[in-house]
Amino acid sequence: MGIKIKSRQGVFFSIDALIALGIIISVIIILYPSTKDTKIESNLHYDVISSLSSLKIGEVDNSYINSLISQGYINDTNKSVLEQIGEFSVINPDLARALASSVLSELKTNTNIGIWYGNKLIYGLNKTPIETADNIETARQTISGIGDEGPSTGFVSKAWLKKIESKKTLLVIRGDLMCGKWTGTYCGPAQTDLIYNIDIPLNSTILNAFWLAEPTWVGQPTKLTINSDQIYNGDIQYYVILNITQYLHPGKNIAVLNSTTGGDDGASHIVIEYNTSDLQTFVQQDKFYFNNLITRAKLYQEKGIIIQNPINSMFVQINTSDAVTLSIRVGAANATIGTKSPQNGIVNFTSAEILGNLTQKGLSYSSLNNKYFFVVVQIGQAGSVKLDENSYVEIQTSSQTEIPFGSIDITQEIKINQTLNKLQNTFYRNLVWKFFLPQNSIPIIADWQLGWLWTGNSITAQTAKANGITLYNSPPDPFIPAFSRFGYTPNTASGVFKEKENNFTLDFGSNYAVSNESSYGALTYFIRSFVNFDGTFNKAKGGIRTIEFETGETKQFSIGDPTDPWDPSIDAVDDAVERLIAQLDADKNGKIDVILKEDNLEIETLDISGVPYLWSTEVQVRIWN
Amino acid sequence: MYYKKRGQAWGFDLMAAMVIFITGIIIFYFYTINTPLETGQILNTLSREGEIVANAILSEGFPENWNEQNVISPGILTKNKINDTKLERFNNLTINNYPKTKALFNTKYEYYAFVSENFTINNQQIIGIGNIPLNDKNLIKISRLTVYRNKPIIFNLEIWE
Repeated sequence: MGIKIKSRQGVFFSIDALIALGIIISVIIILYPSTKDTKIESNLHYDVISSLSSLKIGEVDNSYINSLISQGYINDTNKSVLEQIGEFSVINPDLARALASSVLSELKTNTNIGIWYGNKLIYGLNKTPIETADNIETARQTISGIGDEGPSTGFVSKAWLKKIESKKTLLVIRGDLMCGKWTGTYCGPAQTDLIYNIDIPLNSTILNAFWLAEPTWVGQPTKLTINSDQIYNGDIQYYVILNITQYLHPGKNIAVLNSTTGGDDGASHIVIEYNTSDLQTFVQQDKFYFNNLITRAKLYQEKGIIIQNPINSMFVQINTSDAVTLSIRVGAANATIGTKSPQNGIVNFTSAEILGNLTQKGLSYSSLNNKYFFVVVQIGQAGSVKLDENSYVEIQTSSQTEIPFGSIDITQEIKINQTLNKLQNTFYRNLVWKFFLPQNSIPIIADWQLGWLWTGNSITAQTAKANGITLYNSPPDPFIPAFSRFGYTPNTASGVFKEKENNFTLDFGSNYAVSNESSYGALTYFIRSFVNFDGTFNKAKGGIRTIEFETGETKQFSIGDPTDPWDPSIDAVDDAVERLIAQLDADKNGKIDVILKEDNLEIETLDISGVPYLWSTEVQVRIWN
Repeated sequence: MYYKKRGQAWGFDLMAAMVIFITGIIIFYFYTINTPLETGQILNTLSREGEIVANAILSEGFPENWNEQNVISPGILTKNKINDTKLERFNNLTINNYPKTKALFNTKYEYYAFVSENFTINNQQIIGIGNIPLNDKNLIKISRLTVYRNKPIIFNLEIWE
């Protein structure tokens, strides 16, 4: 038994020791650092990138490179060695490999090294393959002008208009509500002689012109003359539209409305469509002249104005021999500025007077921005009264709307698209206008003059929306008796202008309407007169392109080599011209809005084999172990 | 009684195992952590120092147009190419005051720089710059690529104790 016990003790000790040893070995195995330092201590890959990108191919002291130059394989000796290998890697990878091996012939190293252009291995010096590498370090550089997406050499072109033969644009002379025997709410029957000044640019060619005359009263007996030529004499029911093209000439023209019973209800307008060789015709107006008007007291005239930029000051001068009451109306809110008697035939209202009285009514100059406001004069108390020429509103703004460099301003008619719910004649309660705003264009103003009709004396709903955004909504906004003008600018509200399709709607209640025929909308915007470099093409030769203009005229343009087919898919010049034409086709009807001649077009082409452009490839130099 | 004896045997064995275990841990600790891997460590150090010195030499130096008087870091490149003037100044500096260059490189080790083709300074072929390794111990060679006289060449730096 005792022997057994001793024997058992020995067994216990041996087993325990074995367990202990096992634990020790396990711990050593677990804790002994099994990782090895795989960091590669070499900057060779960075050296390859920096050396080959610093060294120009033409200056390398290497007989193989010299032979490539003499054989014409290398044309641009200003390229870096890295770029030249890159160009060869696209057009002739074997040549790229030979060039890289030659340039790096001195490189003898135990470090595995490889040069990749994109995913293409061009040079390798290695003992073990990269696929079995424990650690890879990479130096990268992007080189431009090289890409597998297309040829390494090619052409990019841009085109711009250095001038134009002519540009079709519009001059719109807008009438205002102006008459005699003003009752306080409407015009009374009074003999009226009303003058419209029409200043047409001297270098213009008048294409078409019409006068829409809408007098104060339905059935108003009226004589219309232009430059002393009588063009109409009779009663005007709602309005007349007269072609006046033949009566106008570039320069100053005078149109006169004579009537025994009234004046202009604010919807009359004269539109002159003309061609001009000026690329830019837009001028920010700062002086707004009243029409010369002779009638019976009380003379009433309101000048509709819309200003995009912040107003700093306003000054009003009236040439008359009678007392003048000045007021400013925004929507239906009216602020009387004051009444003054003339001194030496002139009445002036200073900016301080105007602003002071606006402030008293809770208005300010900023209240007048980006919407129509009306400067209203009421002159005389009895008898004949006259508003002489050189009567104006002068407005100074803190900034000016200037045409961006390389842009053309275009003014186009906004045509009516839809009418619903006729009230009378051509007057509808619901109207929709649509217009197209080209891409890359800058809208300035959309502006309507509206032939309005109010039947009865009860007020009714009036709603104006641009692209669904409500700009005026009565009620709760006040009712406007003479809804003769409406306009907005990009600053009026966000989203009122957008690229491509835009719309403007007017909706009225039961006894108010606007004419689709006697109303006139105009859009002014800037479009770019150039297109920049874009895609790269195999050639840049040009060809013959037939261009159709908005006037209906077509012209054949011989651009570059006339024997080369017009193929914008492979020709950089053709592509640039097509892009420019598309940009100048503001309403996307396939006809461009400016008239061109061949020498109006300036085209610049770059050979991207000489000037790296657009494409890029990443060069990677990898080392591994 | 029987149970007591068994308990005594287990306690004794456990103590012995613990002693062996702790001894093993101590040996392991000293072996793997505190025992210096002298040769490997020195080579690693030399390798790092060599890269630092090579980086300094293959730079523009400081100031950019340094000379023997104002030099803070003697680099021999201009726009990634070896500049003959800087190379000559570096050569002169090592000839005149080699210890100073070691101090500028902030290294206690010896170094010797040479290229795959000889340097040419003042129309004379120079095999290398620095201290030629004659009685070297633990020598490391760092190879770099640079441009000398419009040719990509290998720049070698040997560094040793």
